[in-house]
Amino acid sequence: MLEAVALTKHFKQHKAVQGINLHLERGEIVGLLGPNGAGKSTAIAMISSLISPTQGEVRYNQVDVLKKPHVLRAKLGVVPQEIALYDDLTAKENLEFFGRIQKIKSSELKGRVKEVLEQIGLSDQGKKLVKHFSGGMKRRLNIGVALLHEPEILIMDEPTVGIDPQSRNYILETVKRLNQEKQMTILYTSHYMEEVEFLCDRIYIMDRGNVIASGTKDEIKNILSAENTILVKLQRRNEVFLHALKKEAVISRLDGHENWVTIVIPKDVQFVSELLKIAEASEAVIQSIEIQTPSLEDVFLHLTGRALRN
Amino acid sequence: MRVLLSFIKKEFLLVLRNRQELLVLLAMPLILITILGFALGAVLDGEVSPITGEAALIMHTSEEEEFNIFMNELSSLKLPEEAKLQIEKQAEALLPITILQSEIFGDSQLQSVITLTELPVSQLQEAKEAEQYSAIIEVPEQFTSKMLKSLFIEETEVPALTVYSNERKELSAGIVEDVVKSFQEQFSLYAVLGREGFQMEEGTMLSANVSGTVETLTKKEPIGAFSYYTIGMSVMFVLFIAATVSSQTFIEKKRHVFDRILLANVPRLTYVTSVFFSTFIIALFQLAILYTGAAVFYGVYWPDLVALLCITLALCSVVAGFAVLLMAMNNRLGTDSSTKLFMSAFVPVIAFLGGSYTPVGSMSDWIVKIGELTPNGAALSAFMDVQQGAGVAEVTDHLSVLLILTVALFAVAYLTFPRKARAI
Repeated sequence: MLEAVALTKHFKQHKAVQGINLHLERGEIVGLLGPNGAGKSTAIAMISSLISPTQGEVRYNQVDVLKKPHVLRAKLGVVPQEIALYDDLTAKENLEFFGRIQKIKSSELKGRVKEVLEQIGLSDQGKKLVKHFSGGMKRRLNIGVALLHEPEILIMDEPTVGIDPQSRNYILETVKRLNQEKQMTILYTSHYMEEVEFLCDRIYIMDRGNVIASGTKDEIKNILSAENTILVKLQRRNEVFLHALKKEAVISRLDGHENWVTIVIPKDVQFVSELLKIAEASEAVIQSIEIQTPSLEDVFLHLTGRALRN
Repeated sequence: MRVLLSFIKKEFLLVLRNRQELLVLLAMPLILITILGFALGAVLDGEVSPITGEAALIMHTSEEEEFNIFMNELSSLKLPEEAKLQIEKQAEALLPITILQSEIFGDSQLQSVITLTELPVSQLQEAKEAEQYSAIIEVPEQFTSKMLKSLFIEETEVPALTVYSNERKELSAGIVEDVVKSFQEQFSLYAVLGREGFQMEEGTMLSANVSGTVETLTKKEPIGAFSYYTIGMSVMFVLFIAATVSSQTFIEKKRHVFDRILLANVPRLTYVTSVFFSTFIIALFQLAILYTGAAVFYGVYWPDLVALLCITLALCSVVAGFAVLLMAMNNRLGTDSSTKLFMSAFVPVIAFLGGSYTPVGSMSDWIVKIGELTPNGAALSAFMDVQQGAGVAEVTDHLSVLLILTVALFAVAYLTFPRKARAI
């Protein structure tokens, strides 16, 4: 339905996006995951026809978007990371203005505005000036504007940045509902792992302008399927215990932080009994042992050596 | 058209809900019209001179003594007693220093400009050194007696009055010099006329000749201070609408609202045109409010409403042209520095050149010429002409300047506006 091929963007010496390939199929939610500065926003600006790529192309139903941007734009809703609204207009006035410039018929506009206000849970706030809204309400209206013309594809750039958990949950539920009820295709950009895990069918992980992994959630997690993570909580930090663990060749990665120890070992190795012996020998008091299955966060850490929110 | 109207409505609401902007666009000009109208009203209306000064008069001999000297000389002449009485009577009425003090410097209009104070001779040096006086008139010994002798008895050399001018008070000192010079010339004339047998009657003598009716060189109706500053402030403050709207467009760009506009497939020309017409309409409302306010509060009325409307529309077009240009420049440069420069430097300079603060007619020719080519200057001149009774046909030169500027600004703006504009 929508695909980006070898998409590249250079700003003078800075290579923001380096030849990424990405595609969206009808009715799916695709996550674009990566830390700040990974190139996600530049990538979606190119995909949504707002900036021209240095190289590569974007195709919507086989139409070259660079040559005919209006074809995609008519079917596309974009939720920018910034609150792209007029503060001195009411919620209703904002929606009416954007509805009119999107050429929604006058006879339909009133109904659409009402419907969108209901969708985003702001029906009783329509006459309030946006500048008096909370951060969460502004974010919801920001999404509402993109929904006015009932787009086929919705691109959302970090739509939950800087809001309270309640508003965040509301937005996530709204996105899920739009996909399920209206079969809307969604490209969801975030650096919140749990949001992407909750919403998305497929995921692209970006870092430093490159897509470093892609696939379904399970496919991506399988990158780490050959390993298990053991999380050990000690009564107090024990250097002798850590030193003894470092000598174990079976451990592929070892981290010690305060009284926590993270051990990564091959999945087929039974290490718990050995771990208890080492603890006893080094007089380390273990409070708990947890064997974890890999999360997307672990995958990102594994691929880049950095945490997502660094 | 519907899209265009949406933009205009949106822009209008944004300005209307911004109290700070409203204060600058409406309250400020009205306050300034009030202050300047009252403060400079008397000056501009010719009721009060902005120049004032003090002059000192120092006489080496009192005029009474001088008159006695003259009378002694007259009595020694072999003339019939009746003739002597006649001369005495005329001489009493023509005491030059008395006339200078009471008739000339005593004239109410000259008094509002120059105050004459008599000082003793002993204070001459002190008065010269003091900064207080614009000029000192020194009356030498035998001035009056010789003047009267010259007028009534025989041609004789009259000692001249000496005027010491304070170069730091050039204007008021110049007035004193001119008055004294004119006074001496008139007395010399009367001396000649008197000797040729013309009778000078009491009461027909000199006056400072500073009174009279106010008449402008162009024979047009004079403009009152409130009218002048209503026009001056309006043509200046309407320019700020361009800054207001272009700032708003920059915020649109910065906040990615402009991205939404692009994604809505709004053509580039529609967007540029919407900025033009939004500014045009807002400027029109601003001027309408200012002119209505001036009419209600200060009685500033317009003799020709059609001419008023034509100039107002042309001025609003130029303002809209500026808004579009600033918007395009901000968009291209990715900063709102163009708008800031326009507000902080460009508007004050052209407001001065255009005559918004003070009439520039008395300044150098090149300032006047440049001023008339500025949008506010051209509009101000046109509005003033209408206030003085001119119609549309007589202000076509100024209207042409405004329309040419509009077309030029719009064209440059359209070319400057990036073809692939997007948010920052």
